[in-house]
Amino acid sequence: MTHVGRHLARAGPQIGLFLALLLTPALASAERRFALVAGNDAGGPDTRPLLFASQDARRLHAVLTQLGGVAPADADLLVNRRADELLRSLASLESRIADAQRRGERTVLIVYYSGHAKDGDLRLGESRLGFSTLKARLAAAPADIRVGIFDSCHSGIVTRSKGARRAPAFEIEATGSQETRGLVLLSSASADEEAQESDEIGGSYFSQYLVSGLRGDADRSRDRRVTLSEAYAYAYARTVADTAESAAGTQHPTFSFDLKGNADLVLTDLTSRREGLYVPASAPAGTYYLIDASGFIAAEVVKPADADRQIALPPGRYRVRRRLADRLRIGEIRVTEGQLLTLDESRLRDAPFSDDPVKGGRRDSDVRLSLSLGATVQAFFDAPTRDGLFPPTGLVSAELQVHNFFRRGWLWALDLAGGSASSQVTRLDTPLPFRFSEFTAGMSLATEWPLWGNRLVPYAGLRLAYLLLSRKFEDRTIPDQFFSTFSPGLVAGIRYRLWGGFAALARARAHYLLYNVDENRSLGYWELSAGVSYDF
Amino acid sequence: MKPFAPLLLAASAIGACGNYSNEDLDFQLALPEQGDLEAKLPQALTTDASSEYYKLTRQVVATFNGWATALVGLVDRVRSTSPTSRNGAERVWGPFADDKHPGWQIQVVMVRVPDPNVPAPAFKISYSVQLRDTTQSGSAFFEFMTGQYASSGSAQRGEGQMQLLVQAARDAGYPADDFGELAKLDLDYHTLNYPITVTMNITNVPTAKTQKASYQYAENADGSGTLVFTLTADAVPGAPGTTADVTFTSRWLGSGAGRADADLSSGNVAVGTDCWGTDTVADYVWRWDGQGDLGSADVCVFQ
Repeated sequence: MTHVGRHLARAGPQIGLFLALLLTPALASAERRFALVAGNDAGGPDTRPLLFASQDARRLHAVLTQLGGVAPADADLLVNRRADELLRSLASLESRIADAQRRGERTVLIVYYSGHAKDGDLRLGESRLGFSTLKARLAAAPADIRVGIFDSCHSGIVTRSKGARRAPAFEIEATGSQETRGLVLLSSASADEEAQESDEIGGSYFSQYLVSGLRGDADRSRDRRVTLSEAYAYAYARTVADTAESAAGTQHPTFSFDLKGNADLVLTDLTSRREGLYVPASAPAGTYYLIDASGFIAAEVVKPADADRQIALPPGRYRVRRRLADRLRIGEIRVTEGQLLTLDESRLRDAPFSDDPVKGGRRDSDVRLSLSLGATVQAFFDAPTRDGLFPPTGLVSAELQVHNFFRRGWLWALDLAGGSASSQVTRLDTPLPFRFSEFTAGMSLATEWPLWGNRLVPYAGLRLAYLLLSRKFEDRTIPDQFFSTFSPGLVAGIRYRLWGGFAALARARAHYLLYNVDENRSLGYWELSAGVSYDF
Repeated sequence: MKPFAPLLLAASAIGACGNYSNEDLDFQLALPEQGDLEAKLPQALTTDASSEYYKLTRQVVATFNGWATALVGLVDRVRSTSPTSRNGAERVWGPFADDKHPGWQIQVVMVRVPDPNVPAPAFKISYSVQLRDTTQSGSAFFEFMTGQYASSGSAQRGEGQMQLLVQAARDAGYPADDFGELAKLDLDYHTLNYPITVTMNITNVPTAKTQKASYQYAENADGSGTLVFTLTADAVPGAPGTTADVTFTSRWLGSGAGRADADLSSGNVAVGTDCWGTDTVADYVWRWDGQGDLGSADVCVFQ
């Protein structure tokens, strides 16, 4: 029989760990796992964009496909997608799960969501999905084991209805020989708590520690397998500890489960991939942070005195940091395919706190690309220049926008435009018709102010453009003329999200141009653009 | 922003280059085109039956136009290319290698000259075609042709002078073989309004049979015109100092009919007269020796 939710609320983590060790973990070879991993930074009106929700989703997706027994083809990663897209993905997975079950395979479905939640709904951008709706879908899903993990504000509402516990760990009582079946729900915060993010760790507390635990630091049983209860206990303890002093208050993860069977669920099998870091027992005790090339903490190792630890890491370069009271110990390691690297304490060096390799505040996953196409009208401010030198021109423009590349909320844009116009200049009482052509290439750096949950985004900043202006006279005895220069200016625009990744774009620019052929003349021109952008 | 202003200005100045200029157009439009200074006869056809003096008129016009073409051609490069350098009111084209004379360079310098008597948009420019012998170290450019032009505010309309200094170039070592016995050519023109006038004075080297020649051309709006050609030569061949002037005055209407008179000593001694109709065939001929006289002078369109 199943024992539902024997809680150990606010008890010491040791108890949970002890009970977890009693279980017999199993990652059955005949088992097929499916995962739906979703992250959305936007939460619609009345919410501020999250910093790391999409990053959290990518990290969990990576650990599940690398260590969690989920084949890449069976893992759907949805970043900044709408609720209907999530439900369609879930329906597709359910269909494939049903097919697998018909073939006699044992199935596990893991659904993870990181993002906004409010008033009982998950907020996926402008769209909403009720906690109760998703919970009902999970409860009815055909998989033998369904695991729902929700990292969002007030996500404890999903576990509250039945058997919910705000506890450091849970146990699954061995009551028979049957295989485990049922539903497990984990939430990052209680129903009345905010789920918090951290610039320093580059993610939400709960998801960051969940991932770190799944990579091996939660393996308290030392069997090189991280079970659901181990991962939860680890994430709970670290989340509570790290948020205890935060302004938003302590954040308490919760759980709820309705399981039948006698085995805890192994979420990650560290034996499946050899590469990683081994911290020998002889290494000093403390928390070792493994920092990836982007400057964010990829995983942590909490090493007790006289005990070794091992954590799975994807191949790559990492910097190791251990914080002491008065300094840092830092070093660099390179994990290669199939290699278990042993940490050599002697290769770490002392460094001041100012050399902390953790950047914080920046995240790769937050970098977004968008491409816009549009039409631009350009004209110089003063009439003599407009009438006889550089006529008003229509341009077709394309702009590649990189969001949050240098800094969150900053827009870095590279643009190209070209166009032409017919005009004439009158000199010595002689009209001289000509064809004016223009090519511009520009680079902008602007600050964005997302409004209405990213639906409306005004921005303003600086731009440096290169202009190539030329004209051909109808009187072919007059030579062609050209002028090229760099032109600094200001840019302001507004982007209004329409549907999917599409947005309408309006933009104004004002530029300074130094004309120096006949004489040095300070000129200015303006541009107005309208177009459509697509967010990749 | 203030601290960044110099940086932005510097960024603007970097890479700022080109020939995009309205003032360049003024220079280019100011220069006379080849057709502007040519004499224009209404009839282009000459037949065996054409009047003798009409044929002579055509020959003189052809010579006149040949000199005008040569002179304008020297600065024609200015019209088809952008200045090589600009310095305030000065534009310089070149220096370019003189393809026909290796070792020599040629450049054209045009300067917009302030003149309170020429209000904008009219203006006055001076220009010169300069040569330099690159085989001589330290040699400087010298003037081969000079010119001035006072614009009326219209393209190719105004008053100008041109001077071709062939002997000076020879003296500097320039192989001016193309110019034969020419030593100096002065040309004045007035194209602002009708009658358009072009005066050309040619001075040859002292050893030439013809020491001087001048052309005075006038063109009216109705197509009528006058060309007076005077040459000064030795009256007695081989006896320098005994020069005589021969003047050939040709006048025509827009219809093509016209009259030409030949005189000695600037009109003191009449030599001959031809009058012709629109078919260029002589209607009236008079010669001082009576040879070939024809018709009555009453038929002449000019009396």
